[in-house]
Amino acid sequence: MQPDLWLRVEEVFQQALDLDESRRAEFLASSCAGDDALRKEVESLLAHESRARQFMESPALEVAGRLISKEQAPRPGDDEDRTGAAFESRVLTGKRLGNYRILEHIGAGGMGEVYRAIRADDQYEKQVAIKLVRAGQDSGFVMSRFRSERQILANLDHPCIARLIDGGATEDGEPYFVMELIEGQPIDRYCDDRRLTISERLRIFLQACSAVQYAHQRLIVHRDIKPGNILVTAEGVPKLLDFGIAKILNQDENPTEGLATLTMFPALTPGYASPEQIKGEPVTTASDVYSLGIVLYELLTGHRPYPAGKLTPQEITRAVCETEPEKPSVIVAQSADADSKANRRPLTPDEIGVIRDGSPEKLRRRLEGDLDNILLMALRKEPRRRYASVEQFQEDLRRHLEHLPVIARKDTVRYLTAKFVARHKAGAAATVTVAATLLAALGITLREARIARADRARAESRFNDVRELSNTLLFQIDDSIRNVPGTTQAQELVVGSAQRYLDRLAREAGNDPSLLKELATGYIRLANIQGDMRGPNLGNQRSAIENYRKAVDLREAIARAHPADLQAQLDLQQSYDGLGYAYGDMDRGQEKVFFAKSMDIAAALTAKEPGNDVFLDALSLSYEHRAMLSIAGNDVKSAIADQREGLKLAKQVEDRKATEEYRGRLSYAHKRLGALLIVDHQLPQALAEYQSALALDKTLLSAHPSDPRLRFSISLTLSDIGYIYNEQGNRSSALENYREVLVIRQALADADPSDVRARQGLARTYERLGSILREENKPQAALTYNQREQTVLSALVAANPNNSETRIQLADLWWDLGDDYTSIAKAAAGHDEKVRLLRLAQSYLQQSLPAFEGAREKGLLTGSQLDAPQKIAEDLASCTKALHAALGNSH
Amino acid sequence: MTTPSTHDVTQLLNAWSAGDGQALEKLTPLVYRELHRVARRQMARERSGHTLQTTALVNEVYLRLVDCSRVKWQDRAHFFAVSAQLMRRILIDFARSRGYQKRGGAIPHISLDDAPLVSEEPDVDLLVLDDALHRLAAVDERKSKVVELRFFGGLSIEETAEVLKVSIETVVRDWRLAKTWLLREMSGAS
Repeated sequence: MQPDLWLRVEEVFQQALDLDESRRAEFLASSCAGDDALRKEVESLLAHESRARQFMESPALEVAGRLISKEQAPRPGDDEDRTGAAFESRVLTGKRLGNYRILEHIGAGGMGEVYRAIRADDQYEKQVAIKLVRAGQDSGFVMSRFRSERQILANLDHPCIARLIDGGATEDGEPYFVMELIEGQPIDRYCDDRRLTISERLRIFLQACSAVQYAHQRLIVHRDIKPGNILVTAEGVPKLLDFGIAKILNQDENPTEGLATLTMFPALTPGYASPEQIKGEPVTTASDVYSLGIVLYELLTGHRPYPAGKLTPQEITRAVCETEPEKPSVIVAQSADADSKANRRPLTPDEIGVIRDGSPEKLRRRLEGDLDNILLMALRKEPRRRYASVEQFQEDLRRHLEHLPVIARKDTVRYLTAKFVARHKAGAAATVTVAATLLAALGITLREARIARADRARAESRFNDVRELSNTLLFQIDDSIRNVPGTTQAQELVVGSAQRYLDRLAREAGNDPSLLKELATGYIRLANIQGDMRGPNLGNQRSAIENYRKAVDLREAIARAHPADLQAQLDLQQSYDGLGYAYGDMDRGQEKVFFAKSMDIAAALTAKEPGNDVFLDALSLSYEHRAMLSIAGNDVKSAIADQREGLKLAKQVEDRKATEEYRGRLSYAHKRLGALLIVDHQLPQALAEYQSALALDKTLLSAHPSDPRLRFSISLTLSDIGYIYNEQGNRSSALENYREVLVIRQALADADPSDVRARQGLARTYERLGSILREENKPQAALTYNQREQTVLSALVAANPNNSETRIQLADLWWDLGDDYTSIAKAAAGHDEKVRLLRLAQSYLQQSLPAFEGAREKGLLTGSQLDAPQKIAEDLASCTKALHAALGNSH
Repeated sequence: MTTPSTHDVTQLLNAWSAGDGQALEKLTPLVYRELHRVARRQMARERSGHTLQTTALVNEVYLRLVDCSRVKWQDRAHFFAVSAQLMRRILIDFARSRGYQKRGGAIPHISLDDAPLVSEEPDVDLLVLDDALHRLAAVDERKSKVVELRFFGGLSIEETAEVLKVSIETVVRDWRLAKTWLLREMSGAS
C-alpha cells in the first residue's frame, strides 16, 4: 500500500470510529468522496473492528500457555486435579525426597503441589502427603507464604487437622513438608453418599468446627473453609486441610503495587468467602464462622445460600454482600441447581429430603426455628453480628441437639440476660458478656461463660480471672508482637476483640477504681495500635481518637477523685498527649488544647519532684509538643527555643537514666531541633543535630537490628540529612541519602503491608527524589518517581480519607506532576504532543490549587506550604499561557 | 538444574540484545518454565472458575525473571523493548517446535452481528500472527512495535507509550487499528 494512502486510511478509520455508528456511512461518503480504494479499505477494516476488540487482549504468553493446557486438557472421566501438574508428576514420580519416595501427584492446594509418598525406609509402608512449592514459584512471596503454612501447621496438633510430620528442602533448595495423608471425601459428598440425617451431619460438622476453633485459639484464621478442605475419613473423622492462605493477609511483594496485588491474590473461593473477604476488609475469626455457616447451610439444605454457579463474579459479590440468604427451612422446598464442579445434576426437593430426614416436609420441620436462626446468625453480613466465635456457634448447635434453648434467638438472649442480671448484678453479668465476646473471639475456652449457672461469689472470682486474662491479652500478646514486622493484621484481630471487651466492661464497671484504671490503660493501648502516629499503627485515627477520649474521661475522673496521687496525674497527662497527637492531623485546635493541658500537669509534677526522670521526660515532651504547635503556626524562633528546652531536659533524663527509651527520646529531640534549624536556614547546625541523632540511633540499632520503629526512625534522619545536603547544593549526597531511605522504607513496607507509616514515608521519599531531579532539570526522571508516589499516596488516601497530611501530600504531588508535565512539554517534539502534555499539566495544577486553598483555610498548612496556593496559581498561569501559545501556533 | 538468578537473567537479556546468540539458548528454558507455569495456572483457573488479570500475570513473570532494580531507569524503555522481542522470538519458536501448524486463515469468520455475543476471545494462531505482524511492520513500523510490546511483552498501554515515547492516545489508536488490521489479515478476508 502507498504510504500516503495508508495515512489517509488511518485518519479516516480513526475518525469514523470516534463517531456514532449511525453517522459513519455519511462520514465515509463525504471523506472518501471519489477515492474508492480508500473507502473500500476503511470499510473493510471497520467491518473487523468490533471483533478485534477482544482480539489479542490476552498476552502471548497466555495464548501459548493455553496451547499447552489444551494438549493436556482433562478428558472426561479424568481426575481433574491430576492433570494440572502433569509435568511435575512425570518428573517427580519415583524420586526421593529426604526419607520419602514420591508415588504420585494427588492434588494442588494454595501455592503448592501435593504428592502421595511413602517412607523409603519404612517397613510399615505408611503413606504420607508431601507438599512442595510449585516449580517456578520460588518468588519471595510464594516462599514466605509456603513457609508460613509450614510454620502454622507446626503449631497445630489436633485430631481433626492434618498433622505435620516432617519438613526439608529439595536439592534445588525448594522447601517441602510432609503431612499426614488424608484419604477421605469432601464433607458434603460424604454426608450425601451415606444419606446422613440432619443430626448426624451436625455431629460431623461440630468436629470440623473444633478444628477451626483450635486454630483460632492460636490466632490462626483459615480463610478458605469449604467442603473440599474438610475431608471426612472412612472412620468418619473430618480433617481440616490446606492452611495455604491462612493467617497472613495481603502479603504483597511490592508495596507500590499493593492494590493490584490485592486483586491478584484474592485467594478465596467465591461461594464460601465472607462479605468482608470479598470487600477486602480485615479478615478475622468471624470470617471463618461465616464460611463454616455456608458449609453447614449446604450440608443441611443441599443448597448454596447464593447459587454461585449461575451468577457472574460481580453478581456473587453483590449477593454475598447485600442479599439476605433464604431461610434453610424455606429453601429446601425448592429445587437445587446443578453443580458443575461437584458434577451434580439439579436436585428436586424430594431428592434433597430423602437423603436427609426422609421427606421434604420432615426436613422443613427439622430446620425450622433453631437451625434457621443459627445458620442465619452465622451468615450475617456484619462480622460483629455473627457468633463471636466458632465455639459459640458450636455451643448453639450442641444446645440445639440437646433440645436446650439456643442464643441465636434475639428475644431469648435478652430474656436470659435480663434474668441473669437480676440474679447476679453487674459484676457477674459483665463476666458473662466479657467471656462470651473476648474470650470466645480469641478462642480461649468458654467454660467461664457457664458461670451463668454459678453463684455470685464464684462469679466475682471469675470476673477477676477474666480481667487478668484480658490484661494478658492486651499487654503481653500485644507487646510480644508489636514490634514484629508483618503482624499488624494479627494486632487488628486482637484490637477488634479488645474493643468489644473494653466497651462492655466499661458499661459494667461502676466505681471500682482499679478497674477504671485498667480500662483507661486498655483504651490507650487500643488507641495506640489504631492510630499512634509515633509508631507502626493501623491508620485508623477516628477510632484512636474515640478511644483516647474514653481514656481521658476515665482518667480525669480518677485524678479528680485522688488529687494527691501523682501517678494518676501522670496517667492523665499522658492520655492528653495521646489525644493531642491523634487530633494533630485532623484538628490543630484540639491538638493545642490537649497539649496545653498536658504541659500544665507535667510542669506541676516536675516542680513537686525535680529529680524524677519520668516527670522530666514528660515535661521535655511537652516542650517538644509546644514547639510543634509553634512551628505549625509558623513561629520558628519560639519553636526552636522550646525545642532546645526539650532537648536540654531530654539530656538530663538520659544522663540520669541511660535506658534505650530515653536514648531514643534524646535522639528524637536532636532530630526535631535539627528540623527546626533547617526551617530557620541554620543548615550546618541542623546537620550537627542530625548527626548526633544518627549516632544515638546506630547504637540502638546494633541492639535491635530488626526493630521497625528504629529503622524507620533512622530513615527519617537520613531523609532529613538528604534534605540538608540538597539545600546546601550537594545534590549527589542528597540523592544518595534519599536512595538509602527508599531502601529502608521499602523493606519496612514489604515486611508489613499494612504499616501505613512506612508507606507514608515511602511517598515522601519519592517526592523528595522527584523534586531533586526536577531541580536537576530531569523532569522525565522526576515524573517516574512522582508516578510511583501517586500509586502509594492514592492508596493511602483511599484507605484513610480524613488524614489531612496525606491529602496535602497528594495536592502537593499534583502540583509536582503539573510542573513535571509542563517541563516535559517544553522539550516535546511535535505540536500535538506538546498540547497534550500541557493539558495534562494544566489539569493537575487545577486539581492542586483548590486542595491547597482548602487546607490553608483549615489552618493545616505550615511554613513554606502557606505560599503554595500562590505559587501554584503562578505555575498554572504560565502553563495556561504556554498552552494558549501552542494552540495559537496551530491556527 | 540450578536456577539462574534474576540478576543473571538481566545480564543475559543485555547480552542477547547486544547480539549474543548463546544468551537466547540460556533464556529459553526459563521462559518455557514460565510458560508451563502459566498453562498450569490456566488449567487450575478453569477448574476453580477464578479469573486473574492477564497483564498482572505477565508482569509477575517479569518480576520473577528479572531483577528490575538492576535495570537502570534510563534503560527501562530499552529493556522492555528487548523483553518483548525476546518473548516474541521464544514463543514463536515454541509454537513452531511444538508442531502447531499454521491453520491458514485460522480464525473462522464470525459475522458482525454475532460479534458482540462472542465473549471468549478467539485463540490467536501465533505463527499466522507472526507472519501478519511482519507484513504490518512493512506498512507501519510503529504499529507493529505496539503489538510486539503489548501482546508479546505484556506491557500496559502506559508502559508502551513510555517505551515508544509517544502519547497514550497514540498507543490506544495504534493498538486498535493494528488489531483490526491483523485480524482482517488473519481472517483471510483482505
